[in-house]
Amino acid sequence: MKKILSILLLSFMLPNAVKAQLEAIGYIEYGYSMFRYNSDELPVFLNSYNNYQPGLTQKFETKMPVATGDYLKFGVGIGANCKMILDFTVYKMKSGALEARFGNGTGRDIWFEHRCSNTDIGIRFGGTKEVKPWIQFDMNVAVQTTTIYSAYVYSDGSRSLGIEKTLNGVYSSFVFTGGIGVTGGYRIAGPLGVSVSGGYMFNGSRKHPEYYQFTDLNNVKPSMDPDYLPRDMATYIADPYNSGNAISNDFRGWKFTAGLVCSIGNW
Amino acid sequence: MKTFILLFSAVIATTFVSCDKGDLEIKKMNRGDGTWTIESVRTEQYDSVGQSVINSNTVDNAGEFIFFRTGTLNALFDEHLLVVSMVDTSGTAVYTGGAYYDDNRVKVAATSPLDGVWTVDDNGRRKQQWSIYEVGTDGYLDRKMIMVLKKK
Repeated sequence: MKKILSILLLSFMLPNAVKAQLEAIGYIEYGYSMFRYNSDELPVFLNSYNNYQPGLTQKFETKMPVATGDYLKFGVGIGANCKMILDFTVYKMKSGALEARFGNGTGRDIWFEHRCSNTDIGIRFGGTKEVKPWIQFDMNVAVQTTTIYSAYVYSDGSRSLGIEKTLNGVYSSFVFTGGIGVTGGYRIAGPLGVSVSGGYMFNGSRKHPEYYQFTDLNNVKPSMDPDYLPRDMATYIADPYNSGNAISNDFRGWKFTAGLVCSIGNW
Repeated sequence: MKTFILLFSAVIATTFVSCDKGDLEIKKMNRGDGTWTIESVRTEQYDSVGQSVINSNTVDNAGEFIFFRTGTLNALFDEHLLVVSMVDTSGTAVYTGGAYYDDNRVKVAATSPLDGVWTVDDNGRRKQQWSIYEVGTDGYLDRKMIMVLKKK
């Protein structure tokens, strides 16, 4: 980590030492975001559900759906040809549903929502008055909240999150996470520009999954109802208060964005 | 420097607002005087295997909800004070209790005929639709209620 930081600092200082005229920039960015994620924990629940329900005509797929949504970013930077950038981003992304169905059309839908508050520190090359394109390399830390919606589906297609069926609920867990990424951009005209980015979000919580279980606080349920999604359905039914049977938040993966940038002050 | 400070403040404010999500959600219901008119309540009764509607009726202008900012004794469970008034041919009945609301579900706990955990199908700022389901001991759907609310 120290080596990476040293390289980043050197690559920031060297070009600026050649041309020492520093300028500050500020920008707001808004656009489309996509999270292509993986989880080892959730498929354990999905497989267990598939095996526990013998009447299913359509079983849950265990491949994670892509979540899409939007993001809003505020950023500042300082430097000359090469700038040190600090930016903050709020993401909200939602996935399509994973579906399991019985022969009569009833079943269960599961879908996901990811909210992420992200702080990037990076180095940007280009994006000056003379050089319109830019490229930025960054590292980030983030608070990521993942919510799993688990709804019973009735034969008319309506989804219920109510308490009449076991497993219905809105299960959440937040983790402190981090990642690396690269952003490319281009100044179009005046204060406006476009940018695309790609990066990988790690999930350090995988070492201690017991602290990051998905829970549905008992705000709507009778207070002694089980408030988790299980690793094993048979154990859940036989011993519903065994919270060691809960799945945890191990979501991690690739995050992509495409957006419109509006500068404030200088480019 | 001024730009930097402004942007930094905006970031901090956004972060705090996004953290306090639960409080934002109930604010959608209790903003203004917190009154929502119950535009209609449709009740559907299902057959013995929960597949077909065998009986249904719709009551228009069934009453109103008043959501308060005040928490109830169940504040630990994010419950806020709620007044439900229901109108029928014999007059208006008023119930008081609490409500939990998180944009996806509403728990109405006011000892009223509308008590229960509703699924929020449409969580608009001016108009909402909620549904509640009752199943029999066999697990089949017995009854479904769909309520449409409009901000007064």
